Amino acid sequence: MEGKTSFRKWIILLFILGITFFLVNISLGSVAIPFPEIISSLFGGEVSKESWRFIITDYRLPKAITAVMVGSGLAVSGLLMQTLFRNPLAGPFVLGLSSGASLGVAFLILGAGAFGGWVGNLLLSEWSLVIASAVGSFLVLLAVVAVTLRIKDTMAILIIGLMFGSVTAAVVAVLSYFSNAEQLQQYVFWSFGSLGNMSWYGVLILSMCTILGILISFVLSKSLNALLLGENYARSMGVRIKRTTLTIIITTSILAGGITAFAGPIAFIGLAIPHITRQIIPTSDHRILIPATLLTGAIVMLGCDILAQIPFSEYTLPINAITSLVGAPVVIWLLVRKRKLMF
Amino acid sequence: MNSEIQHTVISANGLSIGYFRRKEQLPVIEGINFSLRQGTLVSLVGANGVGKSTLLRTLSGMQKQLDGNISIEGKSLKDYTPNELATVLSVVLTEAPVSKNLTVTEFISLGRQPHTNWMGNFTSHDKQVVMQAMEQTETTELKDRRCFELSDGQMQRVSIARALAQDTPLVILDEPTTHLDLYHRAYVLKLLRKLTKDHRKTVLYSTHEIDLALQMSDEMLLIADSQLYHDTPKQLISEGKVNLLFPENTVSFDPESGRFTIEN
Repeated sequence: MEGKTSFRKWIILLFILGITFFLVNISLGSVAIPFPEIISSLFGGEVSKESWRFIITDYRLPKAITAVMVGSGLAVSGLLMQTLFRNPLAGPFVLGLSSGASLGVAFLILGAGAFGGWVGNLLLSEWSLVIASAVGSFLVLLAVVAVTLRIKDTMAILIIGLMFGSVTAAVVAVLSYFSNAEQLQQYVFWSFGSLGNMSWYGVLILSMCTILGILISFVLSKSLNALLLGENYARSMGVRIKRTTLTIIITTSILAGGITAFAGPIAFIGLAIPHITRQIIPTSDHRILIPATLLTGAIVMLGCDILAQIPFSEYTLPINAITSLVGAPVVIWLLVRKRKLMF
Repeated sequence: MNSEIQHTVISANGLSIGYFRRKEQLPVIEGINFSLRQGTLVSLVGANGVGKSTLLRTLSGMQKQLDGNISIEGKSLKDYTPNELATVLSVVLTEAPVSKNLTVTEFISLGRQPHTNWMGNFTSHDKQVVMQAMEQTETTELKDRRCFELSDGQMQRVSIARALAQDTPLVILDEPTTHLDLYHRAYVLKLLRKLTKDHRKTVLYSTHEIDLALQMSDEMLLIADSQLYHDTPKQLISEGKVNLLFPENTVSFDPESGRFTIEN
């Protein structure tokens, strides 16, 4: 596909916008810190109050990096799934991936009590949350693909995703009946979604998952472009369909699973961002769409986080609520305006 | 006839096609033998459900053969890697691209995939091939349109352009003239003929327009009674094979006029 250069300026513009949102995100919070102090604490300069430096480097900076990783990772995983399932409504949330991840985490948090002691503590380490959530979403995706191979009707796949959501809710209800209040609270807070309270170690693991997933997506972009013509055409152009499908599925479960483990189930980013990006940059070429989508995802997520903390107040809203409030109207608006979602 | 004309592009030997149900084989046609030479336009005709699509799918490697051998450019189909096969064989399918939002240029350019590097970056040669493919199919003026804006006739030309961009000696088309008006049917067939004559490509296409196929193709593959006949249209008419296409007392072929008539 050609015509790459004309889109390059958009990518640069999005990149600059992303940096701006990143800085604004760090500047705003319940404590007002002057901008020069923020810059100097970021680059290790003199800061008049030590507590300011602490807020910036140990709270706001990891939170902003988490927002970037979550936004870009979910947006790219949504893009991969829309192309794989040839369905503009596909996304980690709609296809039940997030439900699968929730189920994995629910089993872990609510089931850890059953083991108790150090086994329970071991089960609740950061890595095990990631693994449980990634396994959960991977299993759901495998089930979705198994269905796709049998049923060509993409509506059926979406309905199956919804069913997984119901099953998750039911299993979580059963588990919570048997677990204590403390565990239940931990799970409920996880399911609200959160970008804050992340240790630098957690940020590192999350970034590793996200960057790995995004790098694989870049490698896949040629095959993804071929898949835009459908499986038969892609095969006739030399794409190994089974291998490519499996790679896409593993990549999306690393992205969506890893992110959901750390930030909780976050709605609408995966579904809406690829569509918003296609509105900004009218192309189907994944070599342009992937960088553009990940930048847009990061920008929107940083923006949602700014809204969630209600600048200059002490309240913080659940991030999941904000992304839904922003994402759902966007999808409706796109449908009403274009009458048809295309990809 | 020079030696180039004798060059065999695709051949089938004792080929059986059909389906697997669990471990059982369900053959549709058995004992298929033919070979197609470079620069010939070959049509595949037969009634609905006789196995035209199965044959095309098997020849293009989308479906496994039950028995026998297919060889393309002197090499067995089984020995091709997917990417190698894509450099000798391109297809035009009845299905529209999944993403109708693709521009015509994007769609045609995708045909270069087997020839580009892992990122799919274009060299000046790739760009030139795409431009030529557009010129040959007269789709240059459509290049910025999106696929959902095209008429059936335009879409078919663009699909053929994509196969040309793939730049393969063999092109297989599944019912390229279906849904088209008479003008576009003739246009597509003339285009295919031009490709075989001017560009030495071997073109195999399936069709239901038997009268047009009899006029326009060099050779025909005719499927009737679970048998495949390979010959020139003239021969097939004089041997009465064309009359085998449909059950008796429904339609019959009149060799004088070259037309089918409905029997009362």
